[in-house]
Amino acid sequence: MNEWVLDSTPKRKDAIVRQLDDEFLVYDLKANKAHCLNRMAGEVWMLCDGKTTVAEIVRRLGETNKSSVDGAVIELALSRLQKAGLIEQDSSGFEPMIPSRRAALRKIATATLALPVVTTILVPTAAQAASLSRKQRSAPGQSRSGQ
Amino acid sequence: MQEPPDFALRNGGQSDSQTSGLPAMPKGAEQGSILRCDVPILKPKRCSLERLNRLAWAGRASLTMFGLRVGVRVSAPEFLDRFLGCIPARWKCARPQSVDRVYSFIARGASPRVDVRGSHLLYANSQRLARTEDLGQLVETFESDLNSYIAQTAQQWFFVHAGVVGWKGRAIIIPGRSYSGKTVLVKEFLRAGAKYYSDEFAALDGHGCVYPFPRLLSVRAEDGQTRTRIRAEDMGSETGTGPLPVGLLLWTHYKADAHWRPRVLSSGRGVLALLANALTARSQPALALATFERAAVRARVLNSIRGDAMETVESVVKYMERQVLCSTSSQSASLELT
Repeated sequence: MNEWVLDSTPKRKDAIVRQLDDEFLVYDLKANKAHCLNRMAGEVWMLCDGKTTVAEIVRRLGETNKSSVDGAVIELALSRLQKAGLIEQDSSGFEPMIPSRRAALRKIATATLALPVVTTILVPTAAQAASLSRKQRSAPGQSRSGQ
Repeated sequence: MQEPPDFALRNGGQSDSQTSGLPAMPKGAEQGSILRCDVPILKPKRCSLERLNRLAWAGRASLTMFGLRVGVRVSAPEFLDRFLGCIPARWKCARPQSVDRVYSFIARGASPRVDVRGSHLLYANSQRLARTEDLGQLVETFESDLNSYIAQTAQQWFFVHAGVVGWKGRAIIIPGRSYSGKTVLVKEFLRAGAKYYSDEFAALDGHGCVYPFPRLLSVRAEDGQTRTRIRAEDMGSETGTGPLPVGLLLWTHYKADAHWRPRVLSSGRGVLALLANALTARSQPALALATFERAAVRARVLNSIRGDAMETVESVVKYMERQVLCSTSSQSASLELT
């Protein structure tokens, strides 16, 4: 992870949050999207307060989990959170590290850590939920990052 | 015998779109159709409720369901039972004075002032829902509108577009939209001995328990267009009467030649499955999340595309039996420990 990324301070978007066992359920009121974050993604997201640097997030998660956390895992989590629209772009210009994601995955492949997973659905309007045409039925509106 | 008082709207006559969240009738459409009908008394864009109230009503009923009061009135008494017979939710009679929504049915030829070229008429409050010679179609329109109204308006309840059956004291919810194959699965579960709860909506209370919404089963013919309606009892099944905790969420849809290869999802993903098919989650997101969390936290969540319904149901029933066995053995183990 480069210095520029380590010094960035990602900020999570305002949303309704509920914790269910090891998962975080997040409802984005502006986008009307609901997300299910697994523990790793949820912990990273909760630490994104716009003040804590990525380096600090890596350190804190290492403390919480009582083992060192690979920076690549955090990088991947931030990338997925950014893709799901759960992180605001901060003043320091934090951007998702999509170009390096493959590299991150390669690094993580040897690690035994749980990978961050973010599942997203678009919450339908009442009319959409009541009925959809045959053409639309194969797209239940679920997208997924991770596994 | 004293004439019963006519209905008055509880909201003081606000428009439907204001009170129910239903889209308002587009301007012009209603006006055009009424003008074509050439009915002097129904000439305004919307027939005012006062004008409808002035007509002679031969039968009326006032019902309470899911905290809503609905009035039904008919111009010919023999039609009242037909309308009441297709109301899916368990309802109770209520005092007729004030209702949230009133349906007015004017039978063909019932009144010389409103006989529209031999058609039957159906109004919801002041809005005309249907003008048709086909009584069956009219009743279906009534049922469909009433279901939508309940599902979108009932307070403290969340309605999820889903099929629901009861299995050994637990509800199996199959969330999904039209054409996802819910009814076929529900029918197959009924053949396997499940109790019928709904093939349209899972009605969830604040504790996450499911209540029956047992409308007539709607079965599509092979051409995919025509439908027939049957009662669960016609298939030799029982209809559920009380609330059930959710035992299983099946997130699936039909695909030709597919096979049921389920994977277990987390409770959080189960909440997403409910949210993706909920009717009013956008208007009450916090409450929806809390309710669905209570429902899903006790449930198993299975996800797969499916092909043959029988194959799916057999697999699910075996899975449920194993779950029951596991929970029974863990209960007895904990009893032994104590």
